[in-house]
Amino acid sequence: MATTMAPSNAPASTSLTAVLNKPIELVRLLLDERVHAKMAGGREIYGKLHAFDQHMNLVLEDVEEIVTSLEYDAATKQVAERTETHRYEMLFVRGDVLVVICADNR
Amino acid sequence: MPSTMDAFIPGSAPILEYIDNRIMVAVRGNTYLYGTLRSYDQYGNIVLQDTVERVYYRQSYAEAARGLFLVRGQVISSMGRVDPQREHDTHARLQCRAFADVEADADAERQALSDYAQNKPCAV
Amino acid sequence: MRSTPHHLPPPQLFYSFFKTLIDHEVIVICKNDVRIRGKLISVDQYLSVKLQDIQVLNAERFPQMQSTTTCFIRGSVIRYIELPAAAVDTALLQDAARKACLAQA
Repeated sequence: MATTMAPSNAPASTSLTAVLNKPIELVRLLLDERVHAKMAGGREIYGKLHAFDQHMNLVLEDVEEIVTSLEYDAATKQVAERTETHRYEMLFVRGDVLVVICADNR
Repeated sequence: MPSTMDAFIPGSAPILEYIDNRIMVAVRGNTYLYGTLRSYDQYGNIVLQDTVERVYYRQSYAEAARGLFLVRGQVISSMGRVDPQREHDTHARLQCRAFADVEADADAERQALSDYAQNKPCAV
Repeated sequence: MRSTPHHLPPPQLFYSFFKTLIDHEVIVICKNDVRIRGKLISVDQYLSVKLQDIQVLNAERFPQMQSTTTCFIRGSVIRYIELPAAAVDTALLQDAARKACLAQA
């Protein structure tokens, strides 16, 4: 039997613990749902989750990516922040930079 | 022999077909090595002959002849076969400068960006 | 469901998935922001990819990548890969992801 993360005498009201033996199983529950993922480097991604693995690599459909990047002006030596939005029809996201993933609550 | 070995060297199959070709190797950071691939092993370590090291900054670059190079597989981020015509055309459009100048510019940008990031409130 | 012995690596879902996309056009977006479009020629289990007939989409920022025609990109430097949506069977993918997750539990 798989090891359970929650103590066995946990209150029955936390029905999710019955389903979630491991954190990764939350991601399984998000399959076919629209999700919100935060990545290292201030990137945020919204999209419909179609696949994931143990490394948290993802495949998302109908993706909106919001990037806040820093731009360096070589002439003035000033740094400016810029926010951009990118759209992708189908996107593979490498799991190593993923920080948080949850249902899209917008 | 390399073809039978290939099945046991995961990830190295693409390297084999570049052997004796002039390739570009992008190394971690901002360094690019152009040379003739002579040898490789199961870790993706490679040996380049007649290597030219180039660094780029915006629309300028610097280069230095380095000779024989062993590059550790771990630091290689990408590599590809070089088309000499494309290589020539690309560099003809860019400004060639002294090595130290290009590196100083790239360092200044890196420093400015990291200073800015450190002084702003923490965000994931 | 737990027939997979522990000493065996888990099934490589994405490795198999990318193998089905060989010969399709993809856009690889690297962690250093280079965007390279090309035909997917091969993939290995680290999800390194090899592309052919490449074109750098932001060549004005990365002129250095223009001298190559084919390239091998190490899996660890990849941030995203934009896929041809028409070539992706989403139902099959979800099913495979669900099975792989349950097999590991």
